[in-house]
Amino acid sequence: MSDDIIAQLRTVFFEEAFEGLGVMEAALMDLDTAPDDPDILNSIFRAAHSIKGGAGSFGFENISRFTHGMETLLDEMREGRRSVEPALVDILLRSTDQLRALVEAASEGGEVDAEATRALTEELERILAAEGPPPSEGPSEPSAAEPASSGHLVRFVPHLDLMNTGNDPVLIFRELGELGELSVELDASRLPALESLDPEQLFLQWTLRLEGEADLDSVKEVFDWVESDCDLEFAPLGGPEPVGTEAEEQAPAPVAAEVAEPGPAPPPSAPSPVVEASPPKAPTSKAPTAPVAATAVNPPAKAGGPPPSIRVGIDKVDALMDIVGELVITQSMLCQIEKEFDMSRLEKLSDGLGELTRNTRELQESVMRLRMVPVSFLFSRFPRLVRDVRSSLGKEVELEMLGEATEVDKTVSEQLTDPLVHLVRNALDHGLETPEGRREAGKDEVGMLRLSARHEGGSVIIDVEDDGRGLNPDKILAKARERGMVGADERPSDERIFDFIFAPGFSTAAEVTSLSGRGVGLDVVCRNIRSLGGTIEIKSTLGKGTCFSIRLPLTLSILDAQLVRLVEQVFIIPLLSIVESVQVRPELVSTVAGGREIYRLRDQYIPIIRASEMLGVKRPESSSEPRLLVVVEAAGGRAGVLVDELLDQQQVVIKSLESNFKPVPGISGATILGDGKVAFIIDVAGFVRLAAQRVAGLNEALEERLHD
Amino acid sequence: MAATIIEGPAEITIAGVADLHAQLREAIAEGERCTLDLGAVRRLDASGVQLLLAAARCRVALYRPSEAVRASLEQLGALAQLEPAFEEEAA
Repeated sequence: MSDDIIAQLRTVFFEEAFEGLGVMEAALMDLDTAPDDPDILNSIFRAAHSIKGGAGSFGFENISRFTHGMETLLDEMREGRRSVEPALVDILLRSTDQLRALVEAASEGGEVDAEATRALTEELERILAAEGPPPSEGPSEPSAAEPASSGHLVRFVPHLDLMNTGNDPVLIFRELGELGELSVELDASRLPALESLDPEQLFLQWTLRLEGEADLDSVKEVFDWVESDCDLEFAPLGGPEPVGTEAEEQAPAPVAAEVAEPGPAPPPSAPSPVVEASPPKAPTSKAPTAPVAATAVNPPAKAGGPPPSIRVGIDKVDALMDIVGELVITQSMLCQIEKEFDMSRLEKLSDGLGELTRNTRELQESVMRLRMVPVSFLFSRFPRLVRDVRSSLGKEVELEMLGEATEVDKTVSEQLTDPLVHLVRNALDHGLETPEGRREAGKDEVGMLRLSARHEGGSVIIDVEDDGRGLNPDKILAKARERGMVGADERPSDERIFDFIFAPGFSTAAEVTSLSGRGVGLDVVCRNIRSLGGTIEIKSTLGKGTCFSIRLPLTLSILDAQLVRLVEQVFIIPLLSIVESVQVRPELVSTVAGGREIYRLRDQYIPIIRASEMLGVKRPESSSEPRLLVVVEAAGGRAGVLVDELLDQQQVVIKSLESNFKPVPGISGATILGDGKVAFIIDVAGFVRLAAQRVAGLNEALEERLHD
Repeated sequence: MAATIIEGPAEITIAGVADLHAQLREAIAEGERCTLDLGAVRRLDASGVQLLLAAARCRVALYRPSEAVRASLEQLGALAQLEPAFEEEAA
C-alpha cells in the first residue's frame, strides 16, 4: 500500500477512534441510569473493541494494550459476570479519558503521561484479578485454557429481524465450517404456515456442533457481527447441553459461568444497539447524545497535526451535486446565448443571469451547510462534566439539553467549547445551591441546569440556564462602586450591573460571598464570544436562577453588510452591529475637552467617530461635511459613525487581512465587491472601544439633567 | 389436475423473498397443485431456505433444485427435511 493510502486510513482510524470514544463516554454516562441495559454495555464494548483492533493494525501498541484491559472488564460486565457498579463506571470513564489522550498523542504527536497510563492499567488489572473469574477460564486467554478442546456446541437463535441487518446464516455457517467439522441441526418448529409467514423474518433456530481444535474465541468471532441480533450459547462438545430452548443470554457466555450458574439472565434486549444506531437527534432530549455518525467531526486538531477533517452527511453532498448540475446547465445556456447574440435575445440573457444568481446563492448555502455541525457535539461533553462536578460538589443536578440538532459552523462550535464549559462549571459551582440550601429556599433539592440552542434570524442562540440562587445586583453594584466602575449615586439598570461581572478580575474578592469566584474567567468567556462576532447577555432573578444567553452569527465567513461611502471609497459596516442611522442635526453636536465630539441622541450622549479621519481617507476641501450618523453597538457600548452615504445592503464574503496582508487597526477584514473592487470591513468593536472613553461620565450628567 | 408452475428467480434472498412468497400464497389459495422450479436459482439465503420449508409443508413441489439450492439447504441443515419434496421431472 502506498504511504498516501496508509495516511488516509490512519486519519479515518483516528476519526473513528474519537467517535468511538464519544460513544463510550456517552454510553458510560447512560449506565448510571440504566446499569442493566445490555445494549449500552454492548455498544461500549464494541467501541473499545474496534479502537483496540484499529490501533493494533496501525501499530499503536500502547493504545491496543491499554484498551485490552478495558475491553476485558467490559466483556465481563456485558456477560453479567460482573455487576455494573459506579466505581467500575468511574474507572472506565477515567480510562476513556486516558485512552483519548493516547489517541490524541498518536494522531497529533505529543506526550502522554505514561505514569497515569501505567497506573490505570494496573488498576484495571487489579480489578480484573480481584473478583473476576479465574483467568484460566476468562475469555482473555481462552487459547491457553482450552487448546485441546474437542469441539463446541453452539445454540444459535436468531432474532426475527436478523436477515434485515444484512446477515445470512448460510454465510455464517459456511465460515464456521472452515474451523472444523460442522454438523447442523435445524429446528424449524417455530416456523409458521406459509399463509401467515412473514418471509422477511427468520423463524429458524439451529444447534451447531463443531468438532476440531478451534478455540472458543475464533468460534465467537464468527458470530461477531450478529451477536446483537441473536441469542447465542456456547458449550464444549461432550459437556452438558445448553439449557432451555428460549435462550435469553445476550452475549456469548463463558463456558464455566454458564454451566456453574445459569442464574437470572439479563433482560432481553431491544433489537438494535441504541447508541450506534442513533439517528440525528430530535430537538429535545434529556439523555446524553451519541455523536451523529453522518456528520461527526474529530476534535479540533492542535497545530502541527494533520489538517482537521470534517465528515459530511451524504445527503449534503448530494444536494451540492444537484446544484452544481443546475449550474452547469445554466452555464451552457449562457454560452449558447453568447454564441448567437443579438438584441432580441436580451431577455433570455437576463433570465439566464437570474438563474445563475439563484444557483450561486444555493451553492453558497449548500457549501456553508457542509461546515455546519449539530450542537450536540458541543453538548455531548456536558453530561460527563455535570456528573463529575456533581460528585465532587455533592450537588444534585438534572441536566436538560434542548435543540441539540441545531447546527452551527464547525469553527464556531470548536471555539465555543471552552466558554460553554466555563459557563456550565460556573452554574454548577456558584449558581446552584447545595441540596440543603435549596431545601431552605423552598426549592426542589435537585437543581436544574438547562442547555438549549436555537436559531433566531441569522443567529444561533445558546442559553445556559440554572435555577440556582441568581445574581445579587446590589452586591455587584457595591463591588463595582468599590472599584470605581460606577459613580457613588448612580444606579444603572440590572442588565448593566450584571455586565460588570464580565469585567476582568471582577468579584474575585471574598466579600462577595454569594458570588465568590463568579467573575473569574468570565471576562475570558466574554472575550472569546466577542471574537466569534457574538454577544453574551445575562438575565437573572435573585433566588430564582441565572441565564447566560450567547448569540452567535451562523457562520464566520459570510457577513450581512451595509455598504457605506466615505468620500469616494466604499467601506462595510456589519449590519448586525447597526442600531439605527440618523441625519445629523448640528445643534445636537457638542464638543468636549480635547476637541472630541459627542452627539445627543434622545436621552443619551454617544461619541461621534469621524470614520474618514480615523481610517485616513483624505477629504478634499471641496467636498461637503458628512451628515449621516450610523449608530453602531458593540463591545457593550455605542458610537455614531459619520459617513457620507448609505449604499446597498448585501452579503459579503470575508477575506482576512491578517492572514493575507497584516492586521490593520480599525479594519477587521476585507471583501471583494461585485465590480471587483476591494472594500474594507470596519472593526466596529474597535471603533466603539476607542470612542467609549470619551463619553464616560457624560451620560450620568445628562440623566441628572433630565431628572431635574 | 391443473398445475401451476412458478419459475424460481435467480436469487431467492431477503431482497426478493416477499415477491415469491406472494406468488406461492396466491397459487396455493387457488387450491391448485403447485410446482416451484428451482433450476435457475443461483443464490439462496436463509430467508429463502425458510420459504422453501414453509412451501414444502403446503405440498409445493420443489422442481430440479440447482446445486446452489442444495448447498444452502445442506449448510442450514434443511436438506434432509426437504428432499421428499424434490421433483426431478416436471409434474
